[in-house]
Amino acid sequence: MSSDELRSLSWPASREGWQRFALAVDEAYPLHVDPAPADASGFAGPIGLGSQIWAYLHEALRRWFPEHDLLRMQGRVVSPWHPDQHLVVAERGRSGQDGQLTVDLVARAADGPDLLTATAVLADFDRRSA
Amino acid sequence: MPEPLRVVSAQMSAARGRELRRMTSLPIDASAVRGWLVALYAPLPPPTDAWTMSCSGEQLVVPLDFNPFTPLIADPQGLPPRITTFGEWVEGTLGIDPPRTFGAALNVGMSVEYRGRRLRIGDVVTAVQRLGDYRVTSGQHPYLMTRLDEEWSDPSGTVFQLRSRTVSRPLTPRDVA
Repeated sequence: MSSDELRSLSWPASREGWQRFALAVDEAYPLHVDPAPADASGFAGPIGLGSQIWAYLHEALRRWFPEHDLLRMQGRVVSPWHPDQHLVVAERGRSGQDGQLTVDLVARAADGPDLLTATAVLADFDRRSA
Repeated sequence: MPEPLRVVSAQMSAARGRELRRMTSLPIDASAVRGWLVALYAPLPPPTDAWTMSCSGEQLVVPLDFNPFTPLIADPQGLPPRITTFGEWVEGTLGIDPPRTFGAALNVGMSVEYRGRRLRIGDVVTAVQRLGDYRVTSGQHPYLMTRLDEEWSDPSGTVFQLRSRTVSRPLTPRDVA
């Protein structure tokens, strides 16, 4: 975990995992699973699914904030993810107001650059049901 | 000197808001949700808390970003529509001329808003996807950004989830008017 991160979760690089997820969400497109079209498009091998990183962010929030409810999240892809890179999801900041939490998140390669940055807004369950 | 092309044509501008896809899921199945969790953590088994937190009593709680539209849908019956290329998906579906772009289309942005209702086993979801907007970035490596908006509603027609994603398609500087 780098010094600007409050906490993190990591997912190991796994060809099996990424291909399995691509099938589960019906996104097994050539760019994601086949080296040839990925190389032809200028990427060094297949690139990972944005929806998989998005799912990791949801999973991190579910585990870190079990007493809160996700209201909305917005994310921006910074660079492509190659699924042979270990992935880390980290919380980089947090602020709260009126029963809502705003959480800054990043998904990054374990030994490399940021891949996707996101901001999530959560409410505590009591506020939400009030 | 050749006249620069308009990347976003009048036809494309007029297509904003038009429907691209409408589909209704089959009732959400518990084993599909479990399969999704297994896929998310593969090749490792999901951690214990993923299982215990995804169950409330006997009721399996569906993860927020679970996709209920695989592997089959109820309407139109069968496999969900496949995207061949992004241009064929968007401009092809709308019956308009595609922009001249180069290279791969990539997801570069996403957002979601959850409006209270949470998915449960047995729920049926209807998704309606529309063309949101076109935008051209400036700079040495310009891109055509295309935003797709999607609403998820329950059988009563109540919209409970808004999703959008932005896809980039590379342009050449001379194509940007």
